[in-house]
Amino acid sequence: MNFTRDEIIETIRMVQAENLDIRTITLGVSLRDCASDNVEVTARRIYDKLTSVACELVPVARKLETEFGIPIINKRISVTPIALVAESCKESDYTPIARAMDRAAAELGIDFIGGFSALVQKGFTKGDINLLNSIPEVLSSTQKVCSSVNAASSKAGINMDAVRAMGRIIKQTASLTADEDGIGCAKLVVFANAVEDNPFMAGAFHGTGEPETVVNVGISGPGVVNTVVRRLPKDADFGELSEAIKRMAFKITRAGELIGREAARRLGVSFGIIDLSLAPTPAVGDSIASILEAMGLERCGAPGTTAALALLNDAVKKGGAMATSYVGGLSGAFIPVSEDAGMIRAASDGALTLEKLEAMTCVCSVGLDMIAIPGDTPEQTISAIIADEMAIGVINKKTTAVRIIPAPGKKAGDFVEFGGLLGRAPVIPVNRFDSSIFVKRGGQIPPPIQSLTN
Amino acid sequence: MEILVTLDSLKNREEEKVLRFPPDTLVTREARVYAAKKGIEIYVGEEKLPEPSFFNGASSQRAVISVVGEDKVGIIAGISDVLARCNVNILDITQTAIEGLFTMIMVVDISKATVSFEELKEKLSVRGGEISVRVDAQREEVFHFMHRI
Repeated sequence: MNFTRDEIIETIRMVQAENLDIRTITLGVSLRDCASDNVEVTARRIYDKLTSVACELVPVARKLETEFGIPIINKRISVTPIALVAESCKESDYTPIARAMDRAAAELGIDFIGGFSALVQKGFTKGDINLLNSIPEVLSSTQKVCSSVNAASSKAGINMDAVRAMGRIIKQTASLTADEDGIGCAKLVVFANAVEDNPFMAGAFHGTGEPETVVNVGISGPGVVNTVVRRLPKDADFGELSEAIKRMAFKITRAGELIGREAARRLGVSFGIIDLSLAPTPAVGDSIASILEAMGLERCGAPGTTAALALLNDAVKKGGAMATSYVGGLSGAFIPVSEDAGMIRAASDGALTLEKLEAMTCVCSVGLDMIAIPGDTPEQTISAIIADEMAIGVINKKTTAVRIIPAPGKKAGDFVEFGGLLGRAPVIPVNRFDSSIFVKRGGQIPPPIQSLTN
Repeated sequence: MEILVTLDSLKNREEEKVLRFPPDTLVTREARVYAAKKGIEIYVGEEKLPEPSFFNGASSQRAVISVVGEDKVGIIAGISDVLARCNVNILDITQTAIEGLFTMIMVVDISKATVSFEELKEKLSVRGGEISVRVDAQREEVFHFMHRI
């Protein structure tokens, strides 16, 4: 036998007991050839293209699951930012396009479609403005469409007009989906330094430098890493800790590499990247917070959490980078509060605050993610929270993002329920002091100097 | 005049089984892999482009079957009966029964199987259900990728 019995049993245990899975296979599709001067025509072309190009995605993914015995949780599509595709339409309401995307997604049986997006880090075109104005309506009237806006970059600085607008867009989206605790906001991300090949939602879009169609894969596996960390003796030093995580990250990523290559070959499209992210799920144990706690913290959020997360994030990248030749996307541990049982517990115990989460985003991907805040939080405060997160990304030359839900009618300590992978979240308190004069200044925060790096 | 031929240039001309390009046209490797899969022949000038060699550690024709459950008489007989009916050859087999917990791992050759992999998996799982053990089958590449550098 080529493999030892223990190796085979390890793999089986990883899948059956520790939730090892491929989090997502995301097919990137260029829609640049769908443009026209009429929004209905564009919408029809988009529907036709998606349903023909991506018709094999779900069947192929199902087949791979059976053959390789590793579950593939999500099948998704990312498309060219719609602001670019719809720019030449005479109409200013882009909702028909989003509805067409939603219909195509339902027809194909995929979980989410991302790319109702605009890149506005340095200013707005006509298409960008129209797209931003359509977001609240789109997110409240579609099921599977995800939206993202890149409002800042290390080269351009922070577009504070966009940041200010996003505060209002998030509030409006929440109020239009008030009967579902503001779930629309769970499908909306504000980015700094957005990446073009991200397979994860809600921030996936198909960048302009990408091929016609491409397969990107997001791995998972916090449960597996959690188990190895828990098995180590309590006095194992940080070198040993890092080594154990690296080994496991290698194995997880190899599974992703195999599935990604096979999927690309069978779909007859290019293989893009593996996103080396540990993505948690609400399942017990499949949690980033649990890993940090297993390292010796009483609760995630306790002093030491940022250092623990930095070690985890770096070890995952080091192990993963050897396992695949093409790393991309966000590549880092995710800390979405509502999707991680350990984070939920830490936040409801008061161990994890908005400020600590912000600090944690300095050392991992991707940002303030799936955080529920009181519904009466002013829009300027939301904009200011976004501005802070953008600044972290811009200065540190990394991707950061904000996906925040001002849950209508809820106050700190309440719970919001989204169900499925989006999970449930405790509403956490927000600093009550006012930032509106700062936010209302508008304009552009200049990009940081690229030398003098201390 | 085409300078570069990519996978997508081929997709737009999928009906043609033989594609001819002028001498010195550049054809990407991806395009050659795709052409080989679809049975399209590509000529650059007079020269036919060879099929690219595979780099994926070759797609093997082996699978690993794992059986876990309570130890009792007839587990191996039950599982190997299904394999024999499907013309699947057993290459290696290892089993232990410690404190009543039975685990068995088989490496099998599925190249001459008379049923598809999905059907085989289904049949094994049905038989597993009858003798109350959990049976899984996975292609061997998974283990190769995860445990070998």
